[in-house]
Amino acid sequence: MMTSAEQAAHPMLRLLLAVVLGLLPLLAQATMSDCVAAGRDLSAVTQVLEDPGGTLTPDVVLRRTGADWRPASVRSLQPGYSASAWWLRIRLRNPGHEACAAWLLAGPAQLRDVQAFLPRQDGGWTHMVAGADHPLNAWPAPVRQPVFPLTLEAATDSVVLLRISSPGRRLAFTPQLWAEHAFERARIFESLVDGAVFGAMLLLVCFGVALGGVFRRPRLVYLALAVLAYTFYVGLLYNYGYVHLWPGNGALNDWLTRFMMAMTFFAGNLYFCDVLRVSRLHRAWSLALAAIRSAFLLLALGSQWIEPGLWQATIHRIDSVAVLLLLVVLAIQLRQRAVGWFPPTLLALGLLEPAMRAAYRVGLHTFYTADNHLFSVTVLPGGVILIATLISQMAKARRNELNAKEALERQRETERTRLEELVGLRTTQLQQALRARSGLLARIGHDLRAPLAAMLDSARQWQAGAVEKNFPRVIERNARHQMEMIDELVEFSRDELAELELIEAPGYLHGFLHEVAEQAHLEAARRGNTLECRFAEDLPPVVVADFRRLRQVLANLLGNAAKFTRDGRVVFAVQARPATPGQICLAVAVEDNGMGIPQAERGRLLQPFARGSNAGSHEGSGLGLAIVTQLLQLMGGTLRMEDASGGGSRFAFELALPIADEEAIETGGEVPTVAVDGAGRTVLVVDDQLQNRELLCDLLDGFGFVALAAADGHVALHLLRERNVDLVVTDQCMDGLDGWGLLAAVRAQWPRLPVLLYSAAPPRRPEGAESALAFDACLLKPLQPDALLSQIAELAGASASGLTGVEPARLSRWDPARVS
Amino acid sequence: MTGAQPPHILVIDDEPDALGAPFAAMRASGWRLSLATDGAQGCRRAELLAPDLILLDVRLPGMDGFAVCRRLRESPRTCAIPVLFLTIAGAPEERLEGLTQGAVDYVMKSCPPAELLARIQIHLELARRHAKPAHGDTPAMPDTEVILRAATRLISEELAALPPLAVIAERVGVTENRLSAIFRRQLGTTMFAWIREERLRQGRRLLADTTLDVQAIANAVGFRGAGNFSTAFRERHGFTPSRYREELRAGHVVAEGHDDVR
Repeated sequence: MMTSAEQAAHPMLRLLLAVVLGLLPLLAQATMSDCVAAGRDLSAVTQVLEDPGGTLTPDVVLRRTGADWRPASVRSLQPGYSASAWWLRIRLRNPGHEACAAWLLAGPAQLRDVQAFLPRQDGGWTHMVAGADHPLNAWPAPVRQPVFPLTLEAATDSVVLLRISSPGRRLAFTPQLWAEHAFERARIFESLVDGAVFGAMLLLVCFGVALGGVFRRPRLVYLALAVLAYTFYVGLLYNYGYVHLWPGNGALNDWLTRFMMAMTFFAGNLYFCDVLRVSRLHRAWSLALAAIRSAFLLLALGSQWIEPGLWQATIHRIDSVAVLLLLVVLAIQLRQRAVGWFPPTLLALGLLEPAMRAAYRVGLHTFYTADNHLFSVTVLPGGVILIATLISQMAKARRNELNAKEALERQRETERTRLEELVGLRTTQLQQALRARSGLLARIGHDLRAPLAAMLDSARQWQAGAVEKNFPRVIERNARHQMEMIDELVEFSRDELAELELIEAPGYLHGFLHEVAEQAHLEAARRGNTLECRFAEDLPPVVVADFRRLRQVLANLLGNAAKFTRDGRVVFAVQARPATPGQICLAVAVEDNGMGIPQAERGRLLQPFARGSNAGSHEGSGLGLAIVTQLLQLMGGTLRMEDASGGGSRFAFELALPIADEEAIETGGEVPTVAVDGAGRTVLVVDDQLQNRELLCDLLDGFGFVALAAADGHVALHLLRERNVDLVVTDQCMDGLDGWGLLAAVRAQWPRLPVLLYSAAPPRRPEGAESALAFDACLLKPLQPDALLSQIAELAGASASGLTGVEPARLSRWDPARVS
Repeated sequence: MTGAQPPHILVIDDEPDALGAPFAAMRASGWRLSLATDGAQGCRRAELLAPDLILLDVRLPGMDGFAVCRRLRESPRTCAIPVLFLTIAGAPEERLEGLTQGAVDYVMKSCPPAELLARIQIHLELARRHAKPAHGDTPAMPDTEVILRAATRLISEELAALPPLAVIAERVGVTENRLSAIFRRQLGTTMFAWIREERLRQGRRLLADTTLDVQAIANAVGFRGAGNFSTAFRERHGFTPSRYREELRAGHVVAEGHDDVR
């Protein structure tokens, strides 16, 4: 296939060469011998005879009649591939007066076996041989072309016989008569041109391989290799190897020639497969063509051992199959528009030569000749295709590069735009944060002053002798409040909230919620708000949580609600639903009917130091919601901001908390400060927890009461019958007789005996109990010793008054922080 | 026999009749003997008489021998007097309890009188060698103070697994009622609050002096879990135990002293 592709450009190139070589005949003419024109064409005096068996001898041939001999024509001088031997009978005549020496050229250098029979005086033949099938030293002249020296006697006619046989190569005869000098010069010039072309081709091939390698274009490498192999092949055909490189080594020459031919097919196949993008078709195509390639490669490597005739036949058959396959592939790809303009062009170029040959056969033109003396002529088309491929591939690579650059540029542009937008956004955020911070100082000033003012106030009143309040408590609470505010600020400034550790411990849920609510109630009342607590009945009594952080969260939310609502209503709702075993899901919501929060500001409010645009002169650091959000995140909850039904805002979150046992609670850290004298009073403490009984008894005993302990209602009743008791303090849930059962029994038997409920949960009257049945008072755990003692003293009829008479010095020895 | 003054032995036993033989031997040696028949009386007499040695029974009505021993150890007037348990209670844990309570010896009543005397003499001699200042001059300490000291020492020593309050009271020889009242009167606090404070104090010391983790410290001072300890600690000091330790290492706070660390 490569061969046909190469020779497709042949006629055009001939024109080109004619121009290039135009000077040669002119020069030759000037120096030609008298008797012979340079390269005189002998076609007119030549007759051709085909000897299919190749067995005829000169004598036999000469005896053949005129009918067997056909006059030489363009056609008969180019029989193409043929296994026959061909005889040329050339009649030469020297019309001059002296003998002249000349060279008889039989045809192009690729002819392998050329024999010349020159008639001798004695009627015999002078036999000369040329061509690669004969040893070089048998040749009349060591030149690549089959030429024979002959001497034309003056004014005589002579007949020269040429026998040419060259199976496996295309036959073409160009009987020409050359003056010796002219031939030499033409030969040198030819070699020069061939050398130049050969060098150019090698350079191209090097370029092709190098660029193909650099730009990762295998196609270029394949083509370059194909062109290289073909160039060598043609060079070998034209006897450059046999005459100049390894003179006379026929075997090597033959082997190398075939090797190069097979390699040409091999690399060419690779090239076409790539051009036609066979890999995108069904796998079978690739496999078939790969098989063909392997066959080429095997033939190349085995060319030394396979019989030449068989080898030739095989490779041509395989090549036909390959061409057929590639044509089908081309058709498929064209139909699918999978390939561009290049492959069809290549095909057209490839078909040009057969087409022209066909046209020549039917006599459409006589332009076509095969007297391609010049090696270059056959190689150049390959070079041209290589250059074309080179250019197209480089252009493609360049285009890709430009596209990539452009894409990169676009991407950069996008990135820059994004960054600019981001910078703008961040700048705005930063400005907001800065504004928020500058407002902060003013507010902090106010917030930190408030507790101080309260403390001063208390201290003054205390000094003035007022007794209606527990002033140390008030002062302590305010100091604690202020310390918490400072802690908040410090924590925030140090970014400590992010790495804050939660400390979870079991605690009483009801007591905790009521305490939070109590604090919130005071705050709500300051602005004329009412606080409504909706705690579900089924809240578990004891859960594990970081109560301090939870209080912080709730206090912030409740404080906000109270702060931004005036004469309104704040609802604090807590519900529980079972989560995983051993856990409950606590749903908390704080709702108000105050000013609400605009939808657009909700996200922003969760940022530190940010406040709502309508927060105006309300006190607050703006840290609250940011802290709440982070704390909740830490606890595994999320703060939701919603519209309240009443037009205000609603904050809600859910937390999963483990349920715990009352036993796990650590109790009794508080030191009582009230003065209660329980002397002579007996209190019965009923609780199923030993720790709780001990705690209460310990407290009561310290204040002069006589505390009796009972683990359940039955024991309590038993004790009541035996002892004179002034008050019963009971738990609600107990095994055996519970708090309500005990109450009913006490009411029945000792109607005047007061009963105080001291429980982890608010009183919950059991089903079927009389509605009149009620405790004299109820207190929630955990122990608030002062409140409890006051209550107990009141119920038991003991005397109680302000502060105890414990001298501070004594106290400070054990608990300095609480007094000093 | 060693000096001009014959030794004065206080015997605290509810059944002194069973000790006829040793008493006879002691009297024969010229020793002075005093007798108390219950714990409270024994304590009072020990304060009053300041004997050279006390022979103490374990099983006594009301306050048992261990409680008596605990109290004797707290009072400045009696703390240096060698105490020998002389009892029929021979269970190994009782013997151990007695010896760890500060008694110098633990002798069974079945012991031959001569051996008992020999032992007493050894301890008298030892006590004499460690020549104490005449404890008879020290002013007597009020009963409540002695009880308080005994109770606080007991609590401090057994913080990790504190027995119920009733047991603590019993082991220092008072009722629960009385002990609470003593705490209230002497310290102005409840026992629970004092115990909590003591736990935190020891916890803080362990945080400063050891590398134990918070959980181990919580266990060592009797908290039910690290969370409870940390919560109480944070409530008391304003920051968590781990934070306290960090600050301590960074030198921001001083470990010693009972002032608020902030």
